[in-house]
Amino acid sequence: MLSIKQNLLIILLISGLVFASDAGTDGINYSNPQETACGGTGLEVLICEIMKGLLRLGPFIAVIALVLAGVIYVYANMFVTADQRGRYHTLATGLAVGALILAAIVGAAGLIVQTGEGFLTSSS
Amino acid sequence: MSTGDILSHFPSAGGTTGGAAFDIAVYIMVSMLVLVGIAYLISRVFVNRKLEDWAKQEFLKVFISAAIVGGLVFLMHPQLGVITQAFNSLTPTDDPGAGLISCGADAGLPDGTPLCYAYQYLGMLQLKIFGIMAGIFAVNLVLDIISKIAIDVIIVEVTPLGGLASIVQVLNSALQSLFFLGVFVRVEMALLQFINSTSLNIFLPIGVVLRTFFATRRLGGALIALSVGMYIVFPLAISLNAVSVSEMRTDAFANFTTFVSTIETLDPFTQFTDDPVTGETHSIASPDDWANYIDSFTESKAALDTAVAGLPETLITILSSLLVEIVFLPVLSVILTIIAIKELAALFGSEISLARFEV
Repeated sequence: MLSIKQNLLIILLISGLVFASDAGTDGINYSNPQETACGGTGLEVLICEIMKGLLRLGPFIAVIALVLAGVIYVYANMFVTADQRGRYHTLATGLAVGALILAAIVGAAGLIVQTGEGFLTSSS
Repeated sequence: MSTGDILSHFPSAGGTTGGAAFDIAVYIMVSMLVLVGIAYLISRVFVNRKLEDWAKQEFLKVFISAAIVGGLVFLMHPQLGVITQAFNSLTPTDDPGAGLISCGADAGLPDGTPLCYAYQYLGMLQLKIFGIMAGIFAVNLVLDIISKIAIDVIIVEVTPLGGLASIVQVLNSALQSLFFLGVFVRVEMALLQFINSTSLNIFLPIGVVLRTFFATRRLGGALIALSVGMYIVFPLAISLNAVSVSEMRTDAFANFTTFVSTIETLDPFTQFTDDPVTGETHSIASPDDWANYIDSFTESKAALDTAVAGLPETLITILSSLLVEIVFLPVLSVILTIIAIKELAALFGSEISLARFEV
């Protein structure tokens, strides 16, 4: 059962996707922001580089977390006693779910922003 | 309509500044999303409920920021924007500058907008003040001289037109008031120029950027509200003042012009020019000519009395109407603008606390 906030978020996202315009500047590749060519003034380049750094870091962390989750899960099943195994499983599940959500957010960051930008506009 | 390069669409925003601000805003929003994802991962690993809630809320806030940034195009686009269309449709179509004041050439303001209309309206008020001040100078030049003309009659010195000095005093007081009103109106015109050059070029781009970063979100919202309020509400309020009081002082200005014309006919210097037809010569050093000049007042006294009789009403009407138009109504416009900015700030996720202007 989804909460009111979650329902609202889903409606917002779906509406945004339906009404999304071709939002985007020439320099930003929304479908793959990491391919953005950082140009312009010093501050713009700096923030762009920070964004690209974070976009590189995100999947890196997600993969590490995912592998770690697998390792912990296997370790728990093979080397940990039954009474302690639940804690390891919880940690592994947390890592796996967190990693998947992180990967999803990083992968869709550009599109989420694009959808948000188009949300209040009515024409394409 | 593309939201691309959002601020370059704004009437007076430079493509470089606006585009860069928009790009920076997008970079920050994407970065914030990655940080939200990392925070969510950490919250799941360490089972930290507070961090998880923060990540969820921040995700929503980034989305809202993106909607505000994108929505600004929808609201402010010069041709298609909802606010811009309403803004321009509310601009009266007459020319308050009567062809004398050009927005583009004089102040660099966009034509056909309330900003331009307000500037032209204030400019015309300024020209009227200049005209009245020039009229008072011309009247004083005449009255100050003739009110001091003294005649020696054996042992008695008579100043027959000394009473005119009271008019000079009143006009001098009016001159001071007009001077301050002229300064006020000039300040308001400068304020419109300041709004034109900063609201969309500086406050809005900075506001958009700050609105996207979580630590400066409230400040960013306040700056966006400030720029929208200043650019739209203030000039619109001034324009509406122009429409509501435009007929208030027309008669008084006409009466004052008549008064100045009447007084100028009494100019003593015109009495001392030689007559080319009769060959009569006159001189400012001739006592006879001065005596004749004073004698002529017996004929022109009726005209002078009539001109002076309406002067108090004319002056008070002009000064009071200018005071209303230059001081009181703009103060109301400023209050209206501040209230609008406060309300807009709430819309943009911020809060501006301006004491006593709460609604």
